[in-house]
Amino acid sequence: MPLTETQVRRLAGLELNALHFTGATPALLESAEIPSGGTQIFDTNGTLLFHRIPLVSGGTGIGYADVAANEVFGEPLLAVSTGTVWDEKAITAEATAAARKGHSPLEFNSVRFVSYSFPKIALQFLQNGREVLMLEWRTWAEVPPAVSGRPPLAPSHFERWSLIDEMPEELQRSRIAGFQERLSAWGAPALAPLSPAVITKQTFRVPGIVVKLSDTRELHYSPLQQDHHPCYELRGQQTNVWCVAASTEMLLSFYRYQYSQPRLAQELGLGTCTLPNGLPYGQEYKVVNTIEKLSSNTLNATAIPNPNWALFEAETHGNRPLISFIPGHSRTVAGYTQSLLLLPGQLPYKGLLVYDPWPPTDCAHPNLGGVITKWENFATQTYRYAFTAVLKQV
Amino acid sequence: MPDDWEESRIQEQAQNLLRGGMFGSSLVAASGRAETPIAVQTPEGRLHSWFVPITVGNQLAGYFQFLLDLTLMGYSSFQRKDDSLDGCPVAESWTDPNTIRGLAGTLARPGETAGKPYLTYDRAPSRLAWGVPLTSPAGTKRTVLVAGQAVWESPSTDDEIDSYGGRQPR
Repeated sequence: MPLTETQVRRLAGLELNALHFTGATPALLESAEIPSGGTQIFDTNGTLLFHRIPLVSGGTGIGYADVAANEVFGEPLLAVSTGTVWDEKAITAEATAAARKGHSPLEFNSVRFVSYSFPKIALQFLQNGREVLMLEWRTWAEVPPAVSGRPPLAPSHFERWSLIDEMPEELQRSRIAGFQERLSAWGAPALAPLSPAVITKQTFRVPGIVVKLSDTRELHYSPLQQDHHPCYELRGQQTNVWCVAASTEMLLSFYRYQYSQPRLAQELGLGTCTLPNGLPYGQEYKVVNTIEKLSSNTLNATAIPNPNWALFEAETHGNRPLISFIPGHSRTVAGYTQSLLLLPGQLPYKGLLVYDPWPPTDCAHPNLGGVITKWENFATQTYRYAFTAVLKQV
Repeated sequence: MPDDWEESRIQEQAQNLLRGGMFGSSLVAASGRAETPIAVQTPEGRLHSWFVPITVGNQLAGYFQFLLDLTLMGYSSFQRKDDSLDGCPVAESWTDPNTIRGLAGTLARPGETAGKPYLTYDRAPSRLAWGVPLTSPAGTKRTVLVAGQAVWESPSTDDEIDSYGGRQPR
């Protein structure tokens, strides 16, 4: 059920103020105003998708924000852009001129904005509700008709497709639930007195409102976070196929078991530096066996298929790293962050701290290679397996 | 269709995220520069995501990766310590097509010529690598992948992913 303009405007104010409070927005947004509910942007199937809301400071346009009117986005704030002014009237006039110039004679009695390939925008010219022309915003190129047989939600160069029609129902359901949860949080009685029409860091500095922005944890030498610095080290994979060996090396190193990567590769059946191979699907048990064997069974390892967020969170709280298998690749996880209320769509609502052995190095340079990904957006990845390792205690 | 305006929007988004301080070290937040985004293609040649290099001087400190709808996939850092750029690669090795073509040449056979490099990935989108097509005098084509200083021959695109890391010896 699309939101009303009043709801969208308040939601935009709350979300933008929250984002601004985190410091993730440019300073020029301070004191910017949200003068209206903005421009309605429709799906190609005619459903209202989102509002593009102009942001104004001192009477001058400074940018715009895209705020969902449709719950299928899962989160309300879709994008914030500064430096490009959004002027609906001027854009419509420019589009109309382009339409009349290149497509004469043309009869139409209404124009609306359409996201023809989300998030790309076009203007749709209608005669009595029927499309007669669609032009891409800025280039004014004519958007071709939709084609059948497209893979759902596949990225495209210049294609017309419907975000709602192509989104699987299951995904829609989960996103709608997430959106409603967010709306419910913003509807808390404590937030009712807030007036978010102006974006300022003062908005949430109200007595009685405590805003905890995020929950972030990383591995430390001991579980006493306040006593020790983060404690985990990156290892690059020493061939282009040894991500599993490098991941196992990182996990064992955390517990001070120092094995060379070629030695671990041998144990895992991954060949040698000159003739290496990856770990075949179905042989995940070798990771468990290797961790237990090379720690003299001090570590109790477990393979967990299709791991969820709660597992990564719980293991990090236990001060234990995990090996994470995604399709075709292996890495380790050493922390997480999650916003508790405030982060919008463009930021990772839940993110993992990933020690990724990619890009590769070689066996002659074991100290190179790899990247630390801080943060990997949990919503954009598929997690096949996680491997936990717990120290046995007397 | 990606255009200059879209690239600037992505670049601005990366710069804003960087300055916000949630991603990257304080050194990079203060001195890092978001460079021109580079399109990442799937091995089959479809547009997949955007790679935005973050440089400090001539070094590549890290990069953002965004999906096409600007959803942030993550920020990856080459820094091993927050206050140091030791070990970070020279930016050209990840951003300059001529440098990458030269690296691919180390695996070229006699007579093979290198085509235009394109940014892609090996098996998983987080395993970024440049693809460089090589053509033999007889017209046979193959692709070499380059990730930093690592260079290897690309698996065939019709090989299904059946392992973590790479194919089994045949």
